[in-house]
Amino acid sequence: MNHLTDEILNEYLDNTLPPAARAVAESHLRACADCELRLDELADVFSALSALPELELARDLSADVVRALTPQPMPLPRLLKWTAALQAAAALVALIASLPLLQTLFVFEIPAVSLPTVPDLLARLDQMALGVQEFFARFQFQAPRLTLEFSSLFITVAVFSVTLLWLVGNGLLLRPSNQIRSQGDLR
Amino acid sequence: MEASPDRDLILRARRGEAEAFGELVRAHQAGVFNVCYRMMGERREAEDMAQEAFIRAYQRIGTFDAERPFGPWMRRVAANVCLNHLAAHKPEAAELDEERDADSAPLPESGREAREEAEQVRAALKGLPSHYRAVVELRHYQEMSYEEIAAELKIPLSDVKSHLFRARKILAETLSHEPSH
Repeated sequence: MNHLTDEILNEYLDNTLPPAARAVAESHLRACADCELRLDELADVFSALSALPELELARDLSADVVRALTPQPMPLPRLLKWTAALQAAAALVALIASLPLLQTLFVFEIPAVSLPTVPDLLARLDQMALGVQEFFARFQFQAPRLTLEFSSLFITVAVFSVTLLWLVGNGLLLRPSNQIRSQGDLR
Repeated sequence: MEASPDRDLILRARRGEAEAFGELVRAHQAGVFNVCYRMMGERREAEDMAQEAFIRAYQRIGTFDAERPFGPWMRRVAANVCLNHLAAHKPEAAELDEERDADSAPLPESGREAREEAEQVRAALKGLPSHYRAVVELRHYQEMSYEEIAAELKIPLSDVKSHLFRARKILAETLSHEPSH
């Protein structure tokens, strides 16, 4: 008598045998103690697996999962923080430097606005520098004097450079920050 | 057909409401954790895998049919995450999770026996090669057919059967060699 194969015993317990093959297997099992014993051993495995109790979860995972799914702003590298500060300073300087150019461009549209001209500003700076110079002259040393001349080209280049810096800087600042963190970042 | 109880939460999660997904996590985390525990055999690793599975599920929730039950799909995602992890990290020496025993409260004799039996089954499962463990998980705990397992694991049907039958044989031998109480 040919014994039932392991495959047939497994498929018998999995209820995947076609009806005719199942009937043959049942008939054999009634007559063969060896195969019945093998079936019982296999059935014990099924019972052990299905009787395995569920373990309790020691902690609630939802808070960590929600945190990982919520977009987090990426911390700025130190270099970028300095870039932001430099941007602000450069933008301020460029704004002051470009006022005369703006005045030239919009002289008809905004006639009521009167802004100090570069020579006026330089004169004031010169006066302040002189004041400072006189103050420091008492201490017997010479303060440096700055002589700056702004041309339209210089101002245009300055505005363009700052705009470029601003665009690049914001491109970096506004880079995608909502990347979902992977498992390594969760703990 | 009765609507899935998680339907509203799934739809809200699809719209990007992480809090709604958090509620789904709370409802299904125990089941998902147990899938991961059976696959990984260690509590800490199982928790990590369960988290990773939920994050993966959130990323794919747009493709999930909200009318279907969420739990079985979620457990399948968890099994996949564990499988990928096991494939990427070749198995280390099988050790029982010490933490599991450390936090066990004293139990009466019958309870202790049941727990020891459960420990033996968990240890036997953990001793299986990971591809065998996967088919056991999918067949016995996720009640998938041979064909579904083949599709899920992208392996031939004949491999599903041979992995499953060999796994059961190993389990039968391991469990029969365990010392009796």
